[in-house]
Amino acid sequence: MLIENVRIAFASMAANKLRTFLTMLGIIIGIAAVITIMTVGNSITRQNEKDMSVFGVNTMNVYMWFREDAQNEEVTVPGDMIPKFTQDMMTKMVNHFRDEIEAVSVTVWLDDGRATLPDGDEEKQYANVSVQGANPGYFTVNKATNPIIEGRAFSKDSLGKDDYDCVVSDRLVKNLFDGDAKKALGKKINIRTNKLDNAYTIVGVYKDALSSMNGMGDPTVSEKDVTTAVMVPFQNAVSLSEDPNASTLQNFDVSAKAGTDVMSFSTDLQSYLQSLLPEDSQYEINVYTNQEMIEETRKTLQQLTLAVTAIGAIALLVGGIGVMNIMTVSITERTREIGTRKALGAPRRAIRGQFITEAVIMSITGGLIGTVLGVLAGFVACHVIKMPMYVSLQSILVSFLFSFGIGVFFGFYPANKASKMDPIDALRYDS
Amino acid sequence: MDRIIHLEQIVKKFYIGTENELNALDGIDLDVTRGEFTSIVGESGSGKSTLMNIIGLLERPTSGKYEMLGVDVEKMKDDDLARARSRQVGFVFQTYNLIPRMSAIKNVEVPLLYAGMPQAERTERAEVLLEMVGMKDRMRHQPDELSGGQKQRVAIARAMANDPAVILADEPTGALDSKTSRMIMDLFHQLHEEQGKTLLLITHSQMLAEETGRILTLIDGKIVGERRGNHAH
Ligand SMILES: Nc1ncnc2c1ncn2[C@@H]1O[C@H](COP(=O)(O)OP(=O)(O)OP(=O)(O)O)[C@@H](O)[C@H]1O
Ligand SMILES: [Mg+2]
Repeated sequence: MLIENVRIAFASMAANKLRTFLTMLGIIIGIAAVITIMTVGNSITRQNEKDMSVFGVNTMNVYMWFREDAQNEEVTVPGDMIPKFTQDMMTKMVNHFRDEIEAVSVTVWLDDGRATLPDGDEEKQYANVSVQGANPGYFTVNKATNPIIEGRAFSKDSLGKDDYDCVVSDRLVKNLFDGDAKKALGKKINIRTNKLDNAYTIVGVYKDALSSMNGMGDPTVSEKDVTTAVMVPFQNAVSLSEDPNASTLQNFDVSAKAGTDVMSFSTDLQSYLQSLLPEDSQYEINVYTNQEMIEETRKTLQQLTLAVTAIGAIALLVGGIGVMNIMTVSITERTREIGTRKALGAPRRAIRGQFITEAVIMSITGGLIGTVLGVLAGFVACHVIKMPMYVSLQSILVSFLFSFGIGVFFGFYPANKASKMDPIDALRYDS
Repeated sequence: MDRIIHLEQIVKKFYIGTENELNALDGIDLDVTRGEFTSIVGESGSGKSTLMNIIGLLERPTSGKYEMLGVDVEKMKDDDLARARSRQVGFVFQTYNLIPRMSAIKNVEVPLLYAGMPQAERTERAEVLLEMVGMKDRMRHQPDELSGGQKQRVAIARAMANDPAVILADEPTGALDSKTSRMIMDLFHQLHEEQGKTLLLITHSQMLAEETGRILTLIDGKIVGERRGNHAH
């Protein structure tokens, strides 16, 4: 019986192709919209989860700036007004959160420059670098993004301004030492920055995970010219910097020990640091975690999904009403057929079943077309935002069930009406 | 004597309670026994189709008693009537009423489907029936690819599907030329003689009525005459 009903449904849909297609359009649009947004959302969420594992879930950025309500009309801030973490604050913080803090990372940026071999041909062998001063804690905090793969980090915090040690990236090793990290250790390189040439000794090589990530590189820059960071001791960088405020600390990174609840630790850290400032301070301390960032994207995404799903739902509702309308028309047109079937012994439920099947077939066909279009649109959207696509199987299942439900729901009324037709009236009906 | 149909004082009114109230059937008494070939003649509007619809369980009489195969129809629910129609009644209509977009064989399968026969058996049975009416070579054709006479032959095969107790034919040749009408009538005779089918034929043609065994004349919803036809045994 079901097979026959499905066969009849397809035959009658095929007999009215345009009408059937127009009827399905609402369902197609609704399902496609929902599938698209779910595919994109799913892809972004997955990417976020991946990023989270790359950037590390236990790191956070701490920074100090003016309170939002602070009266501060001046555009440029005089040097002594710049908010900064004092050495005293840092020491207190490290002592207070002895059990939670794994490492503290402080950095200072110098201008971009170029690294060459002392006796090399600069035209052929060079690496574009950005020079960054960092404390040893930097390498602990960033062990997920920039793990040391050869050699070591800076030996101690007290490395002074005269210590010309450096930790270079695998990219620089590729450019200057043919990728042989072991060979690079202990070698001297010239780094030119701020028009000054300085010779540094390579003590370690780290893996530049970020620049190797897809889609991060600017395609107009050739692989060889991609800028890579060279880490030099913090104090050394400060001494080379032209910026008189280079040593003032406005922000730093902290990594939490394993097992620490990052979210609650970040709030504790924030309120503790704030408490170290005078109560009427016009500065405000913020602690920003990766989780928070991901949480924010998730929320935005959720709202977007909700909005698109609402639009999809309206389209589905309209589509469902369309199905109901066309089924009513179809049943009127086929009154004689219904009369004949009744004369041939069809019980009520057989007639009802036949037309519900037809409505269901129509709406799940629309649903399937919508799913295909939605996946395609999701593919295009993911391509545009440069993200690997993950099709949400769950959303496909849900939309299948949904279109099935629409067919049953909106098909029931006309089908039931058909099943209640009087056989004589139906047979006498003039079409 | 094997009584299939027993009608007692059957009345069918239309427009009940209005000033147009109409007695389409006005006290019909009728018995049909197994193996009879009966024809009903009468003016247009005399109530022939109404009588046939009641006999065929498509509608219920306003009053009177109807027993089919000894069962009082009044006590049957709508779905019981549907089941009885699928098994005991075969309809042949003037307008054929083949279901569009279904091949000849699928049309013949419809009553078998409603009687709950599995697909393989349905196909087998439908092929036998189409062979019987000489339509086997066209069984995959759609109704709109068949001539009137061919459609009616498919319809007769369909009416025979569940080997019903009675075949009801309402002006089956009304839309056909005389040569094709002859062919259809021959088919009815074949069913009657070879398979012992009970047939009830409504016709406007006195000539065709004469071929049957028993001729009933209906005027204004009453049976006013009954005589034997040439085919009476
Ligand atoms: N469903 C109905 N509703 C109202 N009146 C009906 C209905 N069916 C039949 N009638 C009326 O009952 C009377 C008998 O109709 P019926 O169809 O039985 O006549 P008939 O003998 O078959 O006529 P014909 O030879 O033209 O087919 C007619 O007056 C007709 O108008
Ligand atoms: Mg009639």
